[in-house]
Amino acid sequence: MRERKHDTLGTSEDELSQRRKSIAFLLLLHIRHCKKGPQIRTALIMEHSWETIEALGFAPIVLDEPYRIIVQNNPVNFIDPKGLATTIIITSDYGLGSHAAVRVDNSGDPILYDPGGSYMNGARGSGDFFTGNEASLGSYIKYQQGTGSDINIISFNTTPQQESAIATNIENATNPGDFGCAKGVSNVLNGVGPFKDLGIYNLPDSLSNALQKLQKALYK
Amino acid sequence: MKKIIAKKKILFIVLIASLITLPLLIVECGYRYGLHLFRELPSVQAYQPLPSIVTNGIWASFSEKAPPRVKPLMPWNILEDEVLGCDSPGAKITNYVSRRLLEIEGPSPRMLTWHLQEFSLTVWLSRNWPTERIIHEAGNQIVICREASSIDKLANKLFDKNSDALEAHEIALIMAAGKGGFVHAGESLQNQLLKRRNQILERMLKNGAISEGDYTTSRNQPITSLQQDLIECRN
Repeated sequence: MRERKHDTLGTSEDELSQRRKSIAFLLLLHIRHCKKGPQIRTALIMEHSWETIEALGFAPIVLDEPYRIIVQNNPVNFIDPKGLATTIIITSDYGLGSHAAVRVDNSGDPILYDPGGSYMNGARGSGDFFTGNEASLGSYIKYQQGTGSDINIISFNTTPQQESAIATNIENATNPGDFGCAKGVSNVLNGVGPFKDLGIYNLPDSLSNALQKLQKALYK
Repeated sequence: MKKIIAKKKILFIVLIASLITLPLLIVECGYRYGLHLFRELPSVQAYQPLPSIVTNGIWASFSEKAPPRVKPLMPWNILEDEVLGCDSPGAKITNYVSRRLLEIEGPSPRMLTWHLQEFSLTVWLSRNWPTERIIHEAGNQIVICREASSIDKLANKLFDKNSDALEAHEIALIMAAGKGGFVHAGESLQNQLLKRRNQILERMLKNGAISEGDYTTSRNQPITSLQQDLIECRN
């Protein structure tokens, strides 16, 4: 049997090796994305082993659309290395858009807005948002996948000022009510930075389409 | 020739009628299906009525307009609210209560089912629970640092008094804290709490729940560092 070594923090060699591979994968993705344009700086760490990812040939990443990452397998972390992104998460069930949420890095003080959602059930505040470690995109994606939904992630570059404006909108938002997730998300984004002409959408699918069009227009 | 025109007219009327009734029918079916997914619908249990100022504070914290009265909803009100942007009185607070009750149902289903159940329960509660009971339930589910507490418990914890003795600025602070986490970028927790609390007080003033004088006095009430410590979550 192979001997397992541990570092001072108790991390096993296998875990360290897995982390190194994840970082290598992250860098590789980053480089591949950057070829499509200097604005891209989103990457994805998969829960699968490195070998599985190689075997998949990066299938989960749609390289023709570098700004949109379709999460079909098991991503547990979605990392924005520079901490300057606004990420919109759209879930769909049976081919229909079923939910929308948004996360902003907000200069290291992240905020995740999940209007009318079920994330962290049983202990949600009336504001429908989460901050600090609870605003982890990885945990949020993992949760949504656990419900059986498909997930689309759409990410935009935003400045600290724009992120702060979105965070303020989230703080001031009121409960958008039944089926109000897309309306809630578009309300907090509309008028800020790249979303200045976004408009208000009642359905997650319409919001998703509008954001994808916006991405194409912004990063063509 | 006349018969053909008459037939065409009838067909046209049937088509228009179908176009109007179909969305209503779909919404009604969605409502009934959503209700069917519940093992048991929540009954109205006995409750202690809350003092007027507390009732108004809870009501105002959901940006609801006066008077505190939930309008019994029909399933198609969702179309009005979504498409025409109407705000049915009490729909926001009822929606909040329905989501909290839905959590008791167990693990969350897919988001589509979740939203459907949430919508059905909101409509059902607005028609089957009295306004006071809905407000009472919202006051029983105040989440601070991921722990749901009742107004009574929080009144004791933060102000060392019973909920019956709460003042406007105190109920407003409790409801402000229950909104969720704090985004610290560039602003102190105290400022953020004050902003949230004063927004609720402003809404209470607009609703006629407090006088201009009470509003000014309440706005100037400080938040102690002990209260801040109890409210701030460290996650």
